[in-house]
Amino acid sequence: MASQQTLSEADKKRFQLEALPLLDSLYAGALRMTRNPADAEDLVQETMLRAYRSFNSFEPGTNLKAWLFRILTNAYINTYRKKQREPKQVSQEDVQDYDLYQELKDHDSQLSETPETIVLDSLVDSDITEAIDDLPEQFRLAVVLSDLEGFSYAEMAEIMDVPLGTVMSRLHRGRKALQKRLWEIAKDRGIVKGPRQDGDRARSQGDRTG
Amino acid sequence: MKEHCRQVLEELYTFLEGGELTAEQTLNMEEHLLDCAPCLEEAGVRIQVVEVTRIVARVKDSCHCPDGLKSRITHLIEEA
Repeated sequence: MASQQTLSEADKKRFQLEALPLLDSLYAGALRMTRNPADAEDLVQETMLRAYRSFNSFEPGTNLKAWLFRILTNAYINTYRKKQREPKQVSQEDVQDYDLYQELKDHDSQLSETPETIVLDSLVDSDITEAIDDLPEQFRLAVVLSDLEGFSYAEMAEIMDVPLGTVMSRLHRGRKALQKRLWEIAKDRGIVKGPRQDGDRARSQGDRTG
Repeated sequence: MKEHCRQVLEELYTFLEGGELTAEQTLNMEEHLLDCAPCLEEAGVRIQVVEVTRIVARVKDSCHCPDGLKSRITHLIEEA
């Protein structure tokens, strides 16, 4: 083990008081990163130990959650990323051209009058986490840090160690990809019906004469 | 016109991210969007994106650190 200054009792108490309450947040982030509860637990534990050992380098009064997430993200990239199976890949072209409103209009005309919100609101929580988990890693990380953990673009740039423009690009494309995946899941669940079939028209005529 | 477009879109982003606009800003924005097709399209794109953010927020606090992990970490820190 590398030599480190041991924390003063005061610093130790401060860590316990301020860092431990953030475990829920860290676990939630770790779970979406690793997509595996066992790995998430290991990742959080490793993160907290690293954080504790380097707590002397944390500037009091600055954003502790962001500091912890920086450690979490680094630990994830260094240790767990290689172990992960590749999620379903959403190609760049798909993401650029995807337009949910247009897709709705192309579908059953009855559906085009239904706001997108009703379709997506019918999804359950596990559908949403599934959609997030299916995102390519960099998109997923951006969406998790911004929309689940509430970090600012500047904080995300620090955590992900990328320029601000990269953060915004990944976030925008990640949300677009997520929109598409949510829509696919809604179709799989049968919340969204397929295009009108010719059989439908024939059936309704039959009802009238029958 | 382009400078005005940039300004309107910035105000729109502010509004969509939860910020506040004055009545005058809102009116100017609406009038501009009625007149400017590219801005209107961009506004539509941004609104879709905000919709996704709202959906994701539903699972925001739904996940808790398992008790076993919490006690393990608390114990490790205590003993450190």
